[in-house]
Amino acid sequence: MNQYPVLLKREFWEHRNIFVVLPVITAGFFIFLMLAAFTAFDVVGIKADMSFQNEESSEHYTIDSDDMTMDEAIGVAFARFAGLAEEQREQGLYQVLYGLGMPFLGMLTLVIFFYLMGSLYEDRKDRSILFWKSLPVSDINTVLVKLLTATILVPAVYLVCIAAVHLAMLLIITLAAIGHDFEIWAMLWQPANLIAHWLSLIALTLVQSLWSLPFFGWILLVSAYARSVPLAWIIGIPIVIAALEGMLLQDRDFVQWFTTHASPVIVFGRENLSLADIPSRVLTIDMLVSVVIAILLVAAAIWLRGKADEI
Amino acid sequence: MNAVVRANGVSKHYGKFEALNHVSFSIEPGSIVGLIGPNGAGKTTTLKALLGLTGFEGELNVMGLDPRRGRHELMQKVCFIADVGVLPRWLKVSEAVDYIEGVHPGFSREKAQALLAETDISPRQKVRQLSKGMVTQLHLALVMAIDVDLLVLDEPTLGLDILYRKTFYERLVSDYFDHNTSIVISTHQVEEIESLLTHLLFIDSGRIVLDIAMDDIADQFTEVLVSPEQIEQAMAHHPIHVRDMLGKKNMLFEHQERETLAGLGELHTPSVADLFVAKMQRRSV
Repeated sequence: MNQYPVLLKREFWEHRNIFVVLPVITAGFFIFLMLAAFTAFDVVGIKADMSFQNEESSEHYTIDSDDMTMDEAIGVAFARFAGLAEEQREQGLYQVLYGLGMPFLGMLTLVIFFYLMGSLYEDRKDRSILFWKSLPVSDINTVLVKLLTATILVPAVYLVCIAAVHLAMLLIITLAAIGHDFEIWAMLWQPANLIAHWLSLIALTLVQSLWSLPFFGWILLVSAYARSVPLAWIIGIPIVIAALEGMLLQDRDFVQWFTTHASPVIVFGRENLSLADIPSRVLTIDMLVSVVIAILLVAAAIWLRGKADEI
Repeated sequence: MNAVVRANGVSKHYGKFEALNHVSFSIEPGSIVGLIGPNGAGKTTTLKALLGLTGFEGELNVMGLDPRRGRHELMQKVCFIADVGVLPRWLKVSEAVDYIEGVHPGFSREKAQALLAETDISPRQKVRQLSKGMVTQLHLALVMAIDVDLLVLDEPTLGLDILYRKTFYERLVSDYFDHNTSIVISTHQVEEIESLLTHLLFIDSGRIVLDIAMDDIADQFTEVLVSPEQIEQAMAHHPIHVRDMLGKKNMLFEHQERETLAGLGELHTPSVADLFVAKMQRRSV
C-alpha cells in the first residue's frame, strides 16, 4: 500500500501551527495592513513621501491626508506611476512583490530548520517512537517523508501564502483605482507579471532546497543521533571541524562550503531565476557534490533511525 | 505448527551489564504467555529484541523473520503496546485512526470505531487531553482493530488504577478469545494476569528461570502445608521454598511425586505468585 499520503499528512498534523497557521496568519496580517492603509487614510493622518527617480530626473511628491482626500491622493500616485517607463514600472513592482515575499521566505528557512532538527529527535525524547515503530513503516520512508516535507511541501504552502498576498495587493490597488481613468491592466497587472514572478519564486525555492540538501541531511543525521540538545551538535561539530581545518590545513574551504549551504543564499540572492534556469543551476559540479554528500548524510540518518530507541 | 517465536541463546549486553544471558524459549500459536520478572530482569529487553527495536546476539525468529532486519515487514504481523504513555501527545484520536488505516493493511476502521464508541473517548480529543487510563484504552482499541498473529504487551497497565487494570484484562480476554493470536504480556504484577495465561516465562537477571505451561504446574510443583512435627521429614525432600503459615510451614516442592508428599500434610497446587516468590528468592540466595 502507498503509505506516503498519510505519512505526509502526519507531518502536517504534528506541525500544523508552523506549517500552515503561521504563514496564513502572516498573510492575513499583511492583507489587513494593506486594506487598512486605504480605508484608514481619511481617518488617521497619513503622510507619505514618494520619489520617482531615473537617470534624467528625480521627482519628489508628498501625499498628505491633511491636504487631500484619499481619492485625490490615489489620483496623484497613479498619475505618477503611469508616467513612468514600462521598464521602471516592472522593476518597481518586482521589488514590491519580492519584498512582500521575503518575510515568508525568512520564516520558511527557520521553520524548516527547527522542524528537521526535531523530526527524528522529539519522538525519541517523548518515547512516542515506540508507537511509531510498532507500525509497519520502514525507516527509509520515515526519514524520506521528513525530507520531502521540508524541501517541497512546506515551501509550497508558504509560496501559496505569498501568492495570496500578491493577489490581494493588486486587487486592493485595482479597487482603489475604480472611478479613476486609468488603464489598470496595462498600468499594473501587466508589468507585475504575477505568473512569471511566481514561477521564479518556485524556481528559487526549488534550487534553494537542492542547494541546502547537504545541510538538511546534516540536521537529520544529528536529529537521529543526538541524545540531547541537537542544536549544539548541529552548530558545534562544524565549528570544531572548521577550527581543526584552520589549525592543521590553514585554509577555510570547509567553513565556506558549509556556511553557503547552510544559509538561504539563493532565495535571498535577489536573483531573477526562471524555471528554465533550473537545469543550468543544478548541473554544476558544486551542486552535484552537494547532492552526493546529502545522500550519504541522509543514508546515515536512516541507518541510525533503524537502531534508534527511546532516550 | 511452527512456533510464532523461537529464541535460541539470545544475549544482550549494555557495556559490561548483561541484560540477557543466553535466553532460549519458544511461543506456540494461540498461546498467552506471561513474561514475568522483577524490575530490571530483562523483560523489556527481551520484548524489544522480539520487535526489532534493539540489537542482540544469538538466534531469534519471529513469524519466520529475523527482527533485526525488516522491522516494518514484521510489524504487519506483530503489534505491540509499550507501557502507557507512548502515544504522541499532539495526536488527535481521529488522526490516530486515519494514520493506522493508512499504513497498516490489517487495520479495520469499523472495529476501532466500535471499540472506541464503548469508551468516553471522543475522536476530536488529543492524546494530551486524555487521562492515563483513557490513553491505554485508546491504544488498546487501536491495536485490537489490527489483525495480527502476535500481540506484545509490555507492562500494559503500569500506572493505572485497579479498576482500569481489571477492565483492561477482561477486554483483552474477551477480544482475543477464540483468536489464533498469540499474546506475550510482561508484568511484575503476577496475580492480575494469572487467570488468562496459558504459559509462564519467569525471567531474572537476564536468564529464564522457569518456562512452563500453566497446565503442567500441578504436575511439576506441589505445595504442602506441613505441621511442626513433620518439618524435619519434609525438609528431607528438599523443598525449593519454605514460608511460615499459622504455625505450620508451607513448603513448595519441585518434581516430587504427590504420593510421596501426601503423608506430609495438605497438598495444594501453588499459585503463580507463590511460584514467582519461590523462584526469585531461590536465585537471590
